[in-house]
Amino acid sequence: MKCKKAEKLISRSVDRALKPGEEEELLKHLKECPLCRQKKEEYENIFGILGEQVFPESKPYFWTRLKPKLKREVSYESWLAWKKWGLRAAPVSLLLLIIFASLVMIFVPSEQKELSSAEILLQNQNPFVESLPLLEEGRIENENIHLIFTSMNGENGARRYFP
Amino acid sequence: MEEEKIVQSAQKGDKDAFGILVERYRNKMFYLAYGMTNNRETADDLAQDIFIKAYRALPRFNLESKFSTWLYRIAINTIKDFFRKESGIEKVSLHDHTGIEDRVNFNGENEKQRKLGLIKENIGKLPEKHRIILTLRDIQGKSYSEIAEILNISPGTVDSRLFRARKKLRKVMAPYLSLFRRES
Repeated sequence: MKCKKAEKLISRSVDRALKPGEEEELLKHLKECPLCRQKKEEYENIFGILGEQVFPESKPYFWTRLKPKLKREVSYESWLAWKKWGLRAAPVSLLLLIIFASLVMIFVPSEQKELSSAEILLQNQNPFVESLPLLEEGRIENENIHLIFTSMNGENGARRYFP
Repeated sequence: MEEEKIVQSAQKGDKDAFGILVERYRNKMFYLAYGMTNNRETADDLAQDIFIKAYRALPRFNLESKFSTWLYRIAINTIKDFFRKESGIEKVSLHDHTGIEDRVNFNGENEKQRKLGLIKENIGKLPEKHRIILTLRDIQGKSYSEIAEILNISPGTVDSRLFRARKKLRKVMAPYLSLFRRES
């Protein structure tokens, strides 16, 4: 057995974790190798002392000191949960709003656009279609109004009706 | 009361049940933290942090592993986080401030304590994973299988990592090894 393997077995022997046959193998090597015997002694002393360590007492009132910290933790946790879900909800809400707005724009009909007289003429419609029923009533005042507007659209605005 | 039932009660928000668990494990957590830091104040703070983290994570604990194993995992992560945050501070500074001359003068009743201080100071010089495995095995006395569960590694890896850690410790302690031989 080489010293490298022997050192591995020495480490295991400290824990009493040698597999069957390994102990005999190690003992045989130790009889022949003074360096490994020395190593074994060092290992046993170093790790033996570590295992015998006496720990100091922990500070008193451990649970009493811990309790208020846990209480704070609970309130902080609930705030964190709100924050977490709030942050997740924000983009979703925004997306839903955009979808809703798009649907409204697509499906709700927009108000009919008022056409200019030129556009009406282009569509081959009578621009006075709205005033026709009034004119058809044949009232004198309506005719006067009609004349006024006609004159305003004419070449000079001097043609005015004076009753 | 059976531990599983206590854990289940604590998961439902029973603070007294959690208190029982704290009482049951507070020393183990304190000793683990003390083994890693060698400072009573720091170890106490760390033990408190471990239980706060455990309380926070308790609803997610599925009882698949033992509560103690789960708690040790939290403890190891808490201690690792602590060292990461404190990486600016030299780890050895957490240890005993006795001078080198005093430590190598092993006479009288305090011989064992001084040797222990020397070993622990040198453990502090090792990489984190080696410090953890030495603390769990040689200070806490955990079995290979328990360590494997806590660190989520195979028992074979525990064996080889422990060997490397011990070998490294022996190497860093080379100037003082004569003190650990029978004739010393």
